[in-house]
Amino acid sequence: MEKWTILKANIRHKKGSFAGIVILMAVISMVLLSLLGVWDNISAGITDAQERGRTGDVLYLINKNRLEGKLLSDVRSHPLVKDVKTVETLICDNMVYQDYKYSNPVFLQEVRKSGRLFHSGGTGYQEKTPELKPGELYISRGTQTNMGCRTGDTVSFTFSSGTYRFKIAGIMEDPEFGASVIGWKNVFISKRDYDKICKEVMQTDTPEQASALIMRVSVYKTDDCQLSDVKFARQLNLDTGISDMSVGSLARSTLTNYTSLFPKIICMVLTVFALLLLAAVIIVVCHSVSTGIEMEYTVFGIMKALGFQKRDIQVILAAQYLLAEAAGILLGVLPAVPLCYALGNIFWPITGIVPRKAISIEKGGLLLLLALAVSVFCIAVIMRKIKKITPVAAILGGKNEIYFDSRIKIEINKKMLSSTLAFRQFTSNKKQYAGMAAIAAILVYFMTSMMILTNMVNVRSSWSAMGIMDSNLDIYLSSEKEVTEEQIKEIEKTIGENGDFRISYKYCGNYNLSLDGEQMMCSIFEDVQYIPGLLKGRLPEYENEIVITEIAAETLDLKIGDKVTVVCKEKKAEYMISGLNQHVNDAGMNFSMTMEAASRIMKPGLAFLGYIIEDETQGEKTADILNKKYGDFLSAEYDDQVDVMYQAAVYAMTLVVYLFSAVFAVVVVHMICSRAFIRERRDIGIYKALGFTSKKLRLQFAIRFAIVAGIGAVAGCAAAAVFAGNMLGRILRLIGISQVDTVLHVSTILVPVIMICTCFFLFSYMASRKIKRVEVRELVTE
Amino acid sequence: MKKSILSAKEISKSFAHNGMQQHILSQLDFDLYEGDFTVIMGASGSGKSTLLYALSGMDKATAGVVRYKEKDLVKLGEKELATLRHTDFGFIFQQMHLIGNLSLFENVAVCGYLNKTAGVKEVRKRTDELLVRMGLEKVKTHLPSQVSGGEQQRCAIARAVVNTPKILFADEPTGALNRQNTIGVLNLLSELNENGQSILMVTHDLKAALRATRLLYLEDGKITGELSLPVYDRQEEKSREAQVNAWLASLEW
Repeated sequence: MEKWTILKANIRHKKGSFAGIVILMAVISMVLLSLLGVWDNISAGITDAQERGRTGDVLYLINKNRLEGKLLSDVRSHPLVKDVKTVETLICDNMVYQDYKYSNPVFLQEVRKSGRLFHSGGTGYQEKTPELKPGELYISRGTQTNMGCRTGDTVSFTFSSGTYRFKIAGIMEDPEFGASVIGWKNVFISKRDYDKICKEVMQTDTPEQASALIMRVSVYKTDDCQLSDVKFARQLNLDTGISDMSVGSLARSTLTNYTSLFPKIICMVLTVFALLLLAAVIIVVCHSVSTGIEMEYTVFGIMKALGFQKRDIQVILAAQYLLAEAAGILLGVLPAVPLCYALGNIFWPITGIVPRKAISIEKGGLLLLLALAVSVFCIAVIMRKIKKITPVAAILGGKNEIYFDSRIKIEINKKMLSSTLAFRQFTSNKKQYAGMAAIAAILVYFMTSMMILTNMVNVRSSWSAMGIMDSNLDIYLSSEKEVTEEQIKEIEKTIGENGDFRISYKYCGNYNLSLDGEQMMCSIFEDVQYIPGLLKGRLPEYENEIVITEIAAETLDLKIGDKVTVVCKEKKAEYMISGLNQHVNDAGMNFSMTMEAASRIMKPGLAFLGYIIEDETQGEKTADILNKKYGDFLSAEYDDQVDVMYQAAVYAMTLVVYLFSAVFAVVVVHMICSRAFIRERRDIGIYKALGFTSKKLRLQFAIRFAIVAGIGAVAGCAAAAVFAGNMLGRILRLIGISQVDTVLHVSTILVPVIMICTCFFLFSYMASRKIKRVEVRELVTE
Repeated sequence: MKKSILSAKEISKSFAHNGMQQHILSQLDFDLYEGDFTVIMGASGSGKSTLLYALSGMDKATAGVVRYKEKDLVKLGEKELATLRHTDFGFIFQQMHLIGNLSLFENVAVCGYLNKTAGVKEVRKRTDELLVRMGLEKVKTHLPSQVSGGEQQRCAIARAVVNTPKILFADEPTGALNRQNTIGVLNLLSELNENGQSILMVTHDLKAALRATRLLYLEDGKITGELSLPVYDRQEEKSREAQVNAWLASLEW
């Protein structure tokens, strides 16, 4: 009871500091629970959609004429296969909405009976899916995002037999290719339309006739199969060769990964930030406990004199901080519920699925409990000081502030009196500010990391180093006519007539090939110089060499010098890995080779040319000239815009990080300022007695905190220079970037540093308004 | 005819305590004369320190006027009072109140830096001179925690006079010192007074009071006695002590 009485009194007495801890913990608990909830809900939403759509464990897309009865029966009879389902589709490379031509293959198919239509806001499903009328189609949400079209708009599909126009009748859930990050797309049309197009395409006598019909083969594992989807696909290919025969294949887990890729990255970035903030809260709590013990030295001594034991005091102290932390956690749960739902819906245009609605209590709770445990440990370590407090020492006046000489000493200067005095206050009691500097360092570290991420999105020049093929003038060469070397030279001469340009790439495209039985994307370049992002080893020099991404090499346990077998349909050849690179295609799971090397297993043709036009004003004009002049064998597009969606997402994340950093800075600065104010009340009185005005003292106070923030900021920048690349690399591995270029530009450093220093300065200036209330009279000893 | 440099007319000071008004000073009149070493004595709780703080502008009187250079200190704002504190007034506290993280030299110089009329070199020179005069030249780079109480108080005196104030206020400057340090500090104050420094000191220490040229006795918030004395001479200390003792006895101290 006596402990409870003191505990209540302590909480009442230190309500400011406790409110601070409660607020900080509430913010972190809210953010962590929401982010983990969004992560889980999206993954669960994808699983739900896949279950409803009966998505296979592996999905193969095979030309109908290649899907022989034997291959299918081999697959069906495989001991690990439970079931196989096939659906016929029509592949189209020419889907157009208004002036926008979709650059990836689209699979037209009959509308699924199990297919569900979304409500317009994506918050749920329509009860009934209306039957499609002729000339109508359903598209996935990802298609809508990528094309920018709406229900009621018209899209067209061009086949050898002609162009077919459809009116969008609704947005349908597609657990396979429904996410905007997946290039392939499914569209759903009525049986009547499907049969009609099929019949007409088949009647035309073109090469397309043979390849337009694609069988979607869904393979399901047996219930007792222990292999992961990816390993199952590999094994099945090794045993039956199904992947080698397919246009492409995707494991269910890969589909899940792609669908959740974007929200996962955002959640991961913000979760890391929230965890760093959690570390900062623990620092704040430790600082509060430590200064609290020094300030309450007399009280603790008196408590000991009254018969309280060291352990009693420690229990009271630990309980009051843990109570504040626990209250904060509980307070954070309430807003986490709506926030989690709202965030889940934000990602709908990207994922194309409706997330589940739940809060990740288990994961989040476990994480927060762990944080509480760490906090208890830290508090326990700091509370060892209580042992040294004796009633006699306390009664003799407690522990007065003793200053020692500091090695870092700047002379007190008349012209910069406030600044030099502030610096002295800092250097003479560095330990007291260590925690605050650490918090500033954490905030600046993450803000700088976000600036690096923003630069990555905005500064196109850094893309090629990360394996992103960058160009602003893209030329698609016709597959029907072979383009000669002379024609390409002529094209480049025409581009050169409109200003300076650089060649970005010349490549044949991406092919799904099997590498040691693993279906992987292979980028085939005209020449070795266009292969992007070499990290280790060297680019291929001979026709039997390839480079593979670092991520793929790690996944398949391959290294430089290893020999691999690459299969393209019936042809296979052995290649040696000459180097490891970074290339974002297929989330980094790809390999690259030259046309010369590819000709060992296929007949590659040059299909894409990419250029960077230096004078942006000439871009559109150049593209027009090319289209007019060489329109019979190419299509040129000028696009200098960074993908707005990704840019907006990175900006939004940066804004969130900055906003939370500012909120955090307000609370932390306020808490630490209040403590510093109590400790320095006497000194403030002395300064006032000497003739310092409140304004000058407040300025001095704020400068000191800005100095602390500055030191922390420098440490944060240094940490960002060393660790940010690694951290971002780990996060961006999801999209295929394993090594991030962390060149720190002046703005990358200055923006977070200035922001944190300004925040600390302003907030401490505001928090120091209590200085006005300090009276010189308080120095009087009556 | 002595010239009054600071005067108080009908000043009162009261505090609210447990919902009751407690009157410390009651319609008190006072004049501080140029060059005087004025000492205010009185029993504990008589309001000596309160009067000192009200007269020096460190605290504001509840009623009345404290006039200095045609200005009423009671009506001055924080900025004007702050300027007064580093130009015209110097203050010595009983508990020294040095800034813990500044060396003795810096404690003195900081005060000089506040005075805009003095240059940096001038302040540093004067600080050095004062520290020599106070016998602190060897410990001037030390922090307050590294020197004795007497040295701290001598530093506090140097700080109080670095801007050559018109008036030096001292609140029980020897209250926290041992006998030897007390004598040292009092000698310094006497020396300053001999050089023309006006001093207003509050004390209940008889030894300190002997240094006064004008002694005032405060009782229940009012001045109830006054004694004029010649400039302090150590040779005449005993007779001076007897005279002061007799005066105090007449006031039932």
